[in-house]
Amino acid sequence: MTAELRDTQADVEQVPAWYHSIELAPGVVSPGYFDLRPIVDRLPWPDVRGKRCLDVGTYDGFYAFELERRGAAEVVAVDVADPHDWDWPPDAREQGPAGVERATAGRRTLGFEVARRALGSAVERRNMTIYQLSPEMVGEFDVVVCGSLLLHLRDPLRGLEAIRTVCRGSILSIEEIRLTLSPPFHRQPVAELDGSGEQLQWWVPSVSGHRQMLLSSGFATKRTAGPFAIRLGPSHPAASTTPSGWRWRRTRLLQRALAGAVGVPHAAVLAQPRA
Amino acid sequence: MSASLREAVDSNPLWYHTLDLAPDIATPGYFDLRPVVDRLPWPDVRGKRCLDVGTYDGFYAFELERRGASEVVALDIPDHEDWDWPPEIRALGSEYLASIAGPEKGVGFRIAREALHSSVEKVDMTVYELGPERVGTFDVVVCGSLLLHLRDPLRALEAIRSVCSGEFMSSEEIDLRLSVMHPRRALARLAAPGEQMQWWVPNVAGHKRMVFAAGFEVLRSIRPYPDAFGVGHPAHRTDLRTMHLRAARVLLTGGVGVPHAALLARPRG
Repeated sequence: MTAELRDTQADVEQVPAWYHSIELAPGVVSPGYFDLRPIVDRLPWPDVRGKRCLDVGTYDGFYAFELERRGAAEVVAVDVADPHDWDWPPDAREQGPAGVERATAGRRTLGFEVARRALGSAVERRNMTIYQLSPEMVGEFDVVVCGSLLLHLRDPLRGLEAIRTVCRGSILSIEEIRLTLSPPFHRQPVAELDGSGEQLQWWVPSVSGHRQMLLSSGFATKRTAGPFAIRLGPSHPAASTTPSGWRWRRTRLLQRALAGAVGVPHAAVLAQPRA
Repeated sequence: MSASLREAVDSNPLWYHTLDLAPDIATPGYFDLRPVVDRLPWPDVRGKRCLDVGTYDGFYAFELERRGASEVVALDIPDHEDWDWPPEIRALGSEYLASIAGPEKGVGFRIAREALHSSVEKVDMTVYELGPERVGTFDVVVCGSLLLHLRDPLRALEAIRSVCSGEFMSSEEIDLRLSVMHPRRALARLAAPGEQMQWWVPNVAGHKRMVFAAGFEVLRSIRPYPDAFGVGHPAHRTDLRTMHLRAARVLLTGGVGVPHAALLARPRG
């Protein structure tokens, strides 16, 4: 291992909690909660070469760095650094942010900074909620990417409407979906509501519910992909435990059959603002 | 007296609620809640300070008063510009919004309030703006058939929670099919954006979950029932093509109308 690689490895280990598994140097991969690398090429990417791009809810920056790697001219990444500003359900408004602060040792943006430096990236990170997006604040973008964020919003439609105000080209939306509410079981646009506790989950849609959200916010679907499973990374608490019992066996079977692997079921939509 | 009241009723181009304003005068509303009102899970409202959210012509507000509330505040949105319009419809401009919003709101409420010699106080405010510093707190809050017209029903329920010190009765349209197929999962159908102004239509479990998520615990609920169409509703006439839907609704809710679920809740913790 070269000195440079050893430095990167040391930087990676300094981050208390990685969200994304990102390859930061040959053989050096951040130990994330989620590993998007196996599915990234299955997403319905638009052509981003030379384009101005936005990643909403970037966390450690996986999609932002991917946009850059694919040739974007400029990438802006927005996220909310202070967990107190997240949409916590009322019953988790105190413990929720405290738990995140504990897990990240109050340095939630450190992962992004380490990754940005290791990759020699020029992505610009801005501290902002999805709801605050507006042309006045950030300008307009040819391509917007938003991944696994809507389920954490009490008002996902307002979030998408805000994205629409800054999107002049296309949006790539990748969201968790409920397999059991999606074909072949169900064809209606529906969503399952949680809205309680520190999981910070509100609405998880069916495949058609996800598309309907985009439609309701003024977008038209161009291409779709999935369902596919986003694998848990090594730091996810559930990655090291192997639950047993028929319910889990059934869930895993369903994920393998319908999403191709075991993980968190997601679907992706490429959409454009409707004229 | 009766003649001038009849004239006033006729002068209002759109009645939403069917209200008995005099022994022989009922308003020709879109909906007729009279057949189901006594089946709702009412709390004891006698001597209480009560709030009706999204009152329209005031059916629930006047009912609260009739049941002995000491004070009733009725809330409604003053301006259709403040409705949760889908972005595309809003983009069509103020004049278009006014044309589909229909005639001025609040006319029916004023006529009914006078006819019933009611002392209900009308407050112009959206549900999202509710807060103790603006309206105080209430022993009983009632909200009927409003959440499906909101893009963020949970924010609205949290606002209601912030002014509710006692009990909350919620009656909302539900999706019958989702309720039968998924009795335990909290689901909502996301309606197509359109002029019906509908966003989320929950199943029975979804309605309960929304109220719970906003910080309430559900005390009791009643089985789905129909909000009957009044004589003013286009669907009041029988349409042979939708007879099967109508039959399913009658079978599952006991009557013809828009399927609703109702529950009584109180703030958690």
